[in-house]
Amino acid sequence: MLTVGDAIEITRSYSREDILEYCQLAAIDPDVIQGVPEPLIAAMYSDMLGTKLPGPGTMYMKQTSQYLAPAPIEQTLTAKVEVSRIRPENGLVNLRTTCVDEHGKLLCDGGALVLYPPAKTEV
Amino acid sequence: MSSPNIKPLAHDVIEKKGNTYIIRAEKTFTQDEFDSFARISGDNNPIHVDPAFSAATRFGRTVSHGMLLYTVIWGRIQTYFPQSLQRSQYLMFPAGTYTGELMEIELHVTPTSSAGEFEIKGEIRRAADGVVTCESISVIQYSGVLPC
Repeated sequence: MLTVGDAIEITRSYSREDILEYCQLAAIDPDVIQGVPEPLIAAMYSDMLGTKLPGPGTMYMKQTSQYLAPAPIEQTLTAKVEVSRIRPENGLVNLRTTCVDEHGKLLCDGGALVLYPPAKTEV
Repeated sequence: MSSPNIKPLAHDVIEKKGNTYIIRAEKTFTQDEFDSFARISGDNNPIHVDPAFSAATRFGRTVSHGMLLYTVIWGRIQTYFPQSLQRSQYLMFPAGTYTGELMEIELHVTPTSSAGEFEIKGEIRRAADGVVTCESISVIQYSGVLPC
């Protein structure tokens, strides 16, 4: 049962190899990279939303992010998602999404809106 | 006509209308790209990487990670506004994006009233029927050469 305040976090770093492979997907020259690409910060949230909290069956609808400082490559990052609002009548769930560096400095702050569980009438 | 410092990606079209830069691109996603994004991001949700599992979902097949969609928009921002700093993003994923379908990508880049700041509206839509699968608004800080 999903409850306001439920939270989960993951800690990882992105390697130079990760970034090089990512540059192929983004069709960009790796030389322009200054830190961990912002979509890879947000991907830490969507990973947790889809697989852990709320979990399988989650539909990712919206994400807002404010980037406060660059995220360094090869350094530990901790991303967290925390349930902030549940609307049982339509299955919408809001979560606060944050990412901090190894010193706890806030790098990214924002929110996600997901549909969970998906309406059973939809196939 | 583009700046000598910025080389457009093959098949991308850039034009300027008023004070807005419009960038148009096309892309057909592959399962290899979904798998690659899963490997890099660690997001191995079966709806992105497991065709057998996905066959039983509402989509009936694998769908792109939302952040892989935004990656394509982000890549264009990095290409045409190199070394720009992303301040914020607003992303919506109104529908699924599948492999093997031609997608149209369009960015509208407009300076804000704040010096060196641009708002970028991005959209990815399925070419066949115009269904929008990703909408984005990004705010960047950029002081370099403009793309055209």
